[in-house]
Amino acid sequence: MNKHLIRVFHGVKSSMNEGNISHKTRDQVLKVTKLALLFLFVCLWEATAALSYSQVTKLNLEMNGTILQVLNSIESQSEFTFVYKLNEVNLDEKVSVDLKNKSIDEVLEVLLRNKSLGYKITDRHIVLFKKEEVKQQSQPNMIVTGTILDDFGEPVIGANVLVKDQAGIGTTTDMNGKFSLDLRDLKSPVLVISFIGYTTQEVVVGNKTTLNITLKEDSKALEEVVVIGYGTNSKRNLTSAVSTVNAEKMKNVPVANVTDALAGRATGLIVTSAGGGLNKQSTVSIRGGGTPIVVIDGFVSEYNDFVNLNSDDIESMSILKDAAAAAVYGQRAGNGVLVVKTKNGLKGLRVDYSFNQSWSEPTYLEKKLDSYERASFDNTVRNLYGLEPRWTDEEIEKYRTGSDPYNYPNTDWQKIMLRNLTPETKHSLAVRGGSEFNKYYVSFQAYDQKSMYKADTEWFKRYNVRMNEVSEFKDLGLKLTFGLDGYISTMQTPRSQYSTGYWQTWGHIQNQGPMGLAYNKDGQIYVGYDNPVAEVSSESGYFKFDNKMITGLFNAEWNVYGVEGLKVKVGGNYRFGMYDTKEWNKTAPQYDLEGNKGPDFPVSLQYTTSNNRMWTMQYFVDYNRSFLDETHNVSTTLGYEQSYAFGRGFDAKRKNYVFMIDQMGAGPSDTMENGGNEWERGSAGLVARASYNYKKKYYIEGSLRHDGSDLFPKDRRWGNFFSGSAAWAVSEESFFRPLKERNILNFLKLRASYGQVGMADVSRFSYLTSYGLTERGYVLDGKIVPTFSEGALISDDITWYTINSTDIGFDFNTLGERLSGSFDYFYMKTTGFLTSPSNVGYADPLGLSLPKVKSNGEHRRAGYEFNLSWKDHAGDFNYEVGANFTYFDQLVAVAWDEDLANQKNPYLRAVQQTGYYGTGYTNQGYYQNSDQTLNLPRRDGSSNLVAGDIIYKDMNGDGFIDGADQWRIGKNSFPRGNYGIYANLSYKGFSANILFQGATSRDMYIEDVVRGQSTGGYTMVYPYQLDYWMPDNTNAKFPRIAMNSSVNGNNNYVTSDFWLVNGRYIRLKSLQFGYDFRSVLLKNIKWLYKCQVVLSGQNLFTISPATKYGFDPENGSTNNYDYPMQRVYAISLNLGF
Amino acid sequence: MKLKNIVSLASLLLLLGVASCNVLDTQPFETYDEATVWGSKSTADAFVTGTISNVMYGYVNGNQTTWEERTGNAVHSNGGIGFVREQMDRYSGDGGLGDFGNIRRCNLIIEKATEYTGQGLSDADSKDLIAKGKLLRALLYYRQARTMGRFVWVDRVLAPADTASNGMMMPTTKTTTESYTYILNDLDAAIPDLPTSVKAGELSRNMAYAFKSEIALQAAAYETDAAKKKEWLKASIAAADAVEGASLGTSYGNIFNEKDPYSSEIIFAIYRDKANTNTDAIAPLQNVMPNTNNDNLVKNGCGPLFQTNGGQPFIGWLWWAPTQNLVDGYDVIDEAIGQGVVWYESTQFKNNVTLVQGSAPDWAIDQEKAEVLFYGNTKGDKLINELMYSNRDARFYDTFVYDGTTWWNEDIHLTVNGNLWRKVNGGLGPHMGLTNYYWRKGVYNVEPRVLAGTPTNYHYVVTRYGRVLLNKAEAILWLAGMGEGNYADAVAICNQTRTVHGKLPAKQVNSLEEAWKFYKQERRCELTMENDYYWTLLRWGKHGGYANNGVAPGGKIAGFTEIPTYVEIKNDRKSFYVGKVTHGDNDIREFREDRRYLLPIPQGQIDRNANLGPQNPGW
Repeated sequence: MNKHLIRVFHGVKSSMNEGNISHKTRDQVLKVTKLALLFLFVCLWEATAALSYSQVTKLNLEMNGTILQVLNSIESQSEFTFVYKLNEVNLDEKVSVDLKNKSIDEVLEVLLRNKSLGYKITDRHIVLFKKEEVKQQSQPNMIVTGTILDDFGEPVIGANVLVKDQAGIGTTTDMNGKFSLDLRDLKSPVLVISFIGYTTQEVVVGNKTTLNITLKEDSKALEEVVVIGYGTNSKRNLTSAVSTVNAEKMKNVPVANVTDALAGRATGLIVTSAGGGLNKQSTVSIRGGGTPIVVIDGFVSEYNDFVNLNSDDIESMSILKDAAAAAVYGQRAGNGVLVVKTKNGLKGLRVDYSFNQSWSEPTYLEKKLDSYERASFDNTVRNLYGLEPRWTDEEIEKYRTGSDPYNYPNTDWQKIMLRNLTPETKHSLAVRGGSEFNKYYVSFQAYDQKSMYKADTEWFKRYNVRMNEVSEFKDLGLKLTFGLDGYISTMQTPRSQYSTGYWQTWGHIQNQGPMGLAYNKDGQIYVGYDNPVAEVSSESGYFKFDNKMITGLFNAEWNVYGVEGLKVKVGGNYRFGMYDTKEWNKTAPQYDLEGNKGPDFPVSLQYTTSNNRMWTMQYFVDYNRSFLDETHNVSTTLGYEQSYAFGRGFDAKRKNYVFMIDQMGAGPSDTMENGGNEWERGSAGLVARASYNYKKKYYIEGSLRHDGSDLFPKDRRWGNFFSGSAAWAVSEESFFRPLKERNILNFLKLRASYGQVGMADVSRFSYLTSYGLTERGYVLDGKIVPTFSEGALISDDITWYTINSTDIGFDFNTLGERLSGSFDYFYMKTTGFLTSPSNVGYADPLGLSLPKVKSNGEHRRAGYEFNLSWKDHAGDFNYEVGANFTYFDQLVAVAWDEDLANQKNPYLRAVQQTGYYGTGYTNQGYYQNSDQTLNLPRRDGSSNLVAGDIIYKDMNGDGFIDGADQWRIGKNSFPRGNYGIYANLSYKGFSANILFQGATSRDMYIEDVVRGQSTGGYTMVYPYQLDYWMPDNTNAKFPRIAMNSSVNGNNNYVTSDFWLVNGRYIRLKSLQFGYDFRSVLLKNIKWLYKCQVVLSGQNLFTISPATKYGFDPENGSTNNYDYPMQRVYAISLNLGF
Repeated sequence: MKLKNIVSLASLLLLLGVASCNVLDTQPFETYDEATVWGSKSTADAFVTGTISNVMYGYVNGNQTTWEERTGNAVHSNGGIGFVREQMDRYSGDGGLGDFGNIRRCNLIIEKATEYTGQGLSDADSKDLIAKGKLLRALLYYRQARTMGRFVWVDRVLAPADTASNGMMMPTTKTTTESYTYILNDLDAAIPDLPTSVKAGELSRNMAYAFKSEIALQAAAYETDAAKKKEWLKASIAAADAVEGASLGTSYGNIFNEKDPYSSEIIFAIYRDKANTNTDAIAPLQNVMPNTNNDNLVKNGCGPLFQTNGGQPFIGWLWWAPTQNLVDGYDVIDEAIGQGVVWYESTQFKNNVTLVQGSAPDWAIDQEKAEVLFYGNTKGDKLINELMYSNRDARFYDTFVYDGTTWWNEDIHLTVNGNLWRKVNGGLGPHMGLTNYYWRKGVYNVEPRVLAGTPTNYHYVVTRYGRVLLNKAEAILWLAGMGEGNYADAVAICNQTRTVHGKLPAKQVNSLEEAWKFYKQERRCELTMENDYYWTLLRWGKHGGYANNGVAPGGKIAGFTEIPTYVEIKNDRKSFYVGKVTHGDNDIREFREDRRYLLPIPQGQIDRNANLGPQNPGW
């Protein structure tokens, strides 16, 4: 591949030495200002003066220096842009010019006189080339025009179009992505199209006069801008562990919130679902840590604001994984940082609308046994124990035939309660536009999610709005950013005496037997406790929450006049959040078979409302400068940040409603209750960062945060967190050139970092003494009186503690930049945990926990992660395949809150152990005969053991099985290895994105109903539970059936590894298949630049041992007491105007 | 804009921002410091009240039901529990060792009351507070003493500094004598300064005496030194005698329900207000109410149908039901002799019922025939429920729901296919009693019925005059056995509860043995569901002899191994049988006398602090 290095200079972005330049004329300033105003109000770019720009524009140049410096000067005075090939053009020649009020032609004539350079002006683009190479062959007229679009059908503005091996012929695309080139003198010309952020493409012109070219985004391009803490950087220059998520790939994924879309999409990011359900969030972890902090548009934000983001608004998202990247956030950054930048405007106008309709169904929802099966089974079991049959043959026959449905019902609760497919819809509208001076982005999104409950009493809705506006006063060097971000999310879910949420309702859908009735003959809800139909009925009550947030932010950036590279920034945001709930607890009336109304349950109403105000202010100074033609590159940041929050909440309640009106005033006034509270919190920090690189070859960077938190007593509030990192771009060394030229290894960078971030795991104001008041403590003489309690002992010796984080890694790309990847090893050592010594030693008689102090506890987490991707094309077929993998494990090296007695027990202790599930007995299968039941040691408390019961191992060999034999069992419940495997394919208008995601081994403990056990007797719910031990089924999944689980002293159901199920899985997480009708059918419709239809699916299939028990490995409950994980099918329409 | 101006503006902004306020000086908005709490009597009282609540709840609610199911008085409808089969181990001790948080509260009262004397508290205030602190400390430790016999005695507020040189590795008391000495000393120290006239629910001098009468009795049972034993027995009697102003309530049942919550008999009760109490928070209410409805009745051919509440007056979450064994203790007035006798020995019963021992009636279903101990058929048109349940001890009617009674305005049929029959829902199992009896004692008349989520007032009777009298009676019997005093005094006391509460004729007793028998029957009937019988059986086992069916002291206790029984009455009420409750192995009952008199000190705790050992014998 013939690689061209193309340098595009933009006046504003230039980092070259400007030399001596004269001031702009008054005329020019006026013109620019007028234009800017026009852009601001019309928001349309109009190239009215374009054709004559080169003639109209007059330049003033009076300087001595290199040609390069002169060109820079021209660029800074005008809108001209120079395009040239670095290896062809030598701009280091010294020249001396003194020109006043000359046109560009006149200037270049003088400048390039006697130099071996020619030029060609196309509008504002000037191509420089080696003069003697210009061919003078005579060929027929051939003007080629074309349009350059990106993957999404958006025009690529300012892309370079050069002719291969032909110096001096080239142009750039206009606002509509169009270009026009005169190729008349050329023999079989080949166009080379390039643009930053895109893969350079070569196109054979042949006989075509019109070309439509799609530029492929070059996601692994090293120059990709990455948002980091308090700034940005390029991938090439990163010395720390930062991975990015491609937000575009999440666009059509049918998920309720951004957390659900993240799994498998970035190295180091571990996302685990905890079941389905409306507004349910996935757990996000960076390298196995706890919930990370989130930074949105430069400000540390509430995690909830991240969850509720409109994912279409995300321009880029970075994951700061090591201390080198995260230390600038100090003591809050212990679990890593998610940095999100939202979209901004662009020149011109673009309107994007997308509509997404999806339908979901449970990934796994095991069908239950019906009445006939249950009744037959009842008799089988009773027969086993020599008991009278529970059901007569006639009764069983009635269950089988359904001939007497009200006395012998066969209720399919799942069918009665649940939809087959649950709809969700999403509308997104985004308008981007602006001018050179002013750019804006406005978006709106509406999301509507329904529930699996047929009753339609549960739903979730969210509305997002965002406005980002940037104004640039170029002559002042001032950039102002304003942003407004808001959302309202509302959810309603049923409430009744029987249920306060999924745990109960899903429990009842499962646990209600088929022999129970849902409705009576008149279709009224049948009486009986825990009837799930009543729970979700529209006649029952509801719980409604309403979460409203609005954040405004501003940022002013000023390029300090006269000091190249120095920038002063002042920014701030203000967030107002409101959270309201209303709970109308009412139970739908229920009726017996005769139509008699069942009992009325008490009805109550409760409101809670809380609001909070938070603000952050930031003052920063940045200095970025390159010296000696990018030999020495320096970047520094210094700043101060502080934030404060205040909140207030109220609640009010009335009970025992007589009038069924869900309003406070309608309730009995003698049952009024209310409460309220206020709180505040504050934090502040000084941030410093400096980095230096030599020729982009040797990098060194350091950062520091002096961080303050009000969690600690006054003299212990401030902490210092630092990091240092270094990198070596080996591929930039001269000895590497042969490898590079042969495309064996195009790029290789080695990185290493070390640093400290903080943890502050302590409750608020624990350094102050306080007694607690219980409002309704006790009853004296029939009156409720308050009572006091002593608060916790004062912890006045507490402060932040630290995570020492080391990261070593490398980034590479090879085979002509087609294969790229990176690898990191990380090691985090957390020391100095705050803990009460009562957790370790015996201090029980104190009666309270000893105050928290810093301990010498040490926790280690280490692991590795890598990603690989292969990106290429074959003709119009573009493809990218890749994978990422993150593995970690952790252990407590020095215990800080484990009891000493436990620590001394090598079989029980948690210290010095990598992941395990917990403690319990170790099973050895089933007793298969009475000899075994008599001769093997038996658990203390187990009795009446027979064949088919579980044998436990006498771990310590003392002949007894008791608490001392409960050793560590199983594997960690949080998966240690997580991976994603993806493929992104496109061919002309077609595109496909495939993502597999998975997790390695982890243990899940299955609970009583799934075990087929309940305190009341055996509970057979599912067909797979019929695989229980029998003399002819000795290798069964479940132990023998007993009439009552306590019949053998609960032998089979004590905690043991018998009931652990491996929850490892791999699933087709996301599949998208799209077609853009614009590519063929609607090609000629000018006002439409995109008309794409995407079919997608989420969680389409899963392979996991857990499915043997009928549930998804990511379900929220191993007893199915939760809304199940969903498989989603969706269709999206994306229109661009 | 001039450079200078911009720089000045920026610097100004920066300064303003940094200096505007110190965002780190935040504070909690609602706090109560030590001086606020201890600086006045009313706030200090609120601390004491909180401590009363913490300590005294340990005597009630679930405790009444769980300790009762560990005796022959009650069975759990799901099946027998591991405890009665000796299936607990030394790790899962049930003795409640520790509770140091509440010990700290008691000590804090004692110390702060002293410290703040003259600083908001008067001498009298201080004395009152200290007395209450000591009383609560004694009552807290008594709960540990009666389960494990030993505890960790902490008599001051410990500070973090006390961790130095292993100061927190405190030992347990070595003997029950040592334990009870601490407790009784605290009680004696508290009594003089305790108030005599108090609000319902508050600590009083009477309450301290009432507890002392029982604590001294329990202490004496575990005491091996005869002189000490006598001393404590006498202390028990003295304490009982010191109770002033209390009297036996004339309507026994009303003491425990909404009709007489402030009865003159109640010495201490814990009250609940419906403002923050629902029926489901009260175990002896919610968990003794059966659960069925008319549809179940129809489906299973049972009746009569319920008339109220849409056919669903009974939708509780029953776990516990009383046994026939307990019911047997409530005498019937013999129509011939006018004296109370066991129901199956009354003249009216004998004359009208043919009793057959050891075999089952033909109407009993095959699978249950082996359960039958004896059965009977009436002669003529006599009904069995009338013969069994008429003219009984008045406490029987206040304690049980039985066949033929009215409950919640419904006619209750506890016959085969009756409306609250044990198998009315199709089989034995959760939420229906296994015995064809239900608890009525302690069940409030909640409007419209006992239903989860329904607000109700409630009161748990912790101690009362009847209990104090019986404590005294037992002390007298012990002393009589040791040659001091006269058992007749005990008989007289038993006749007080028997006549006033039971409305039975006084009983004539002619020997110490008979006196014990009478007393044992009286105590079991009088104090059922009041968290008493379990501890009383232990005392009787320690005493042995007459107190324990002739078994030597420290032997097996028959009361723990008796097989619970139920009654099954044919639906024509002409025939009945009494059978063993075998559901869920309820009939398997064991008692290991080598260890069960004291429960284990949780081994996990001894592993942490060896000074808590040695482990109690047998564990």
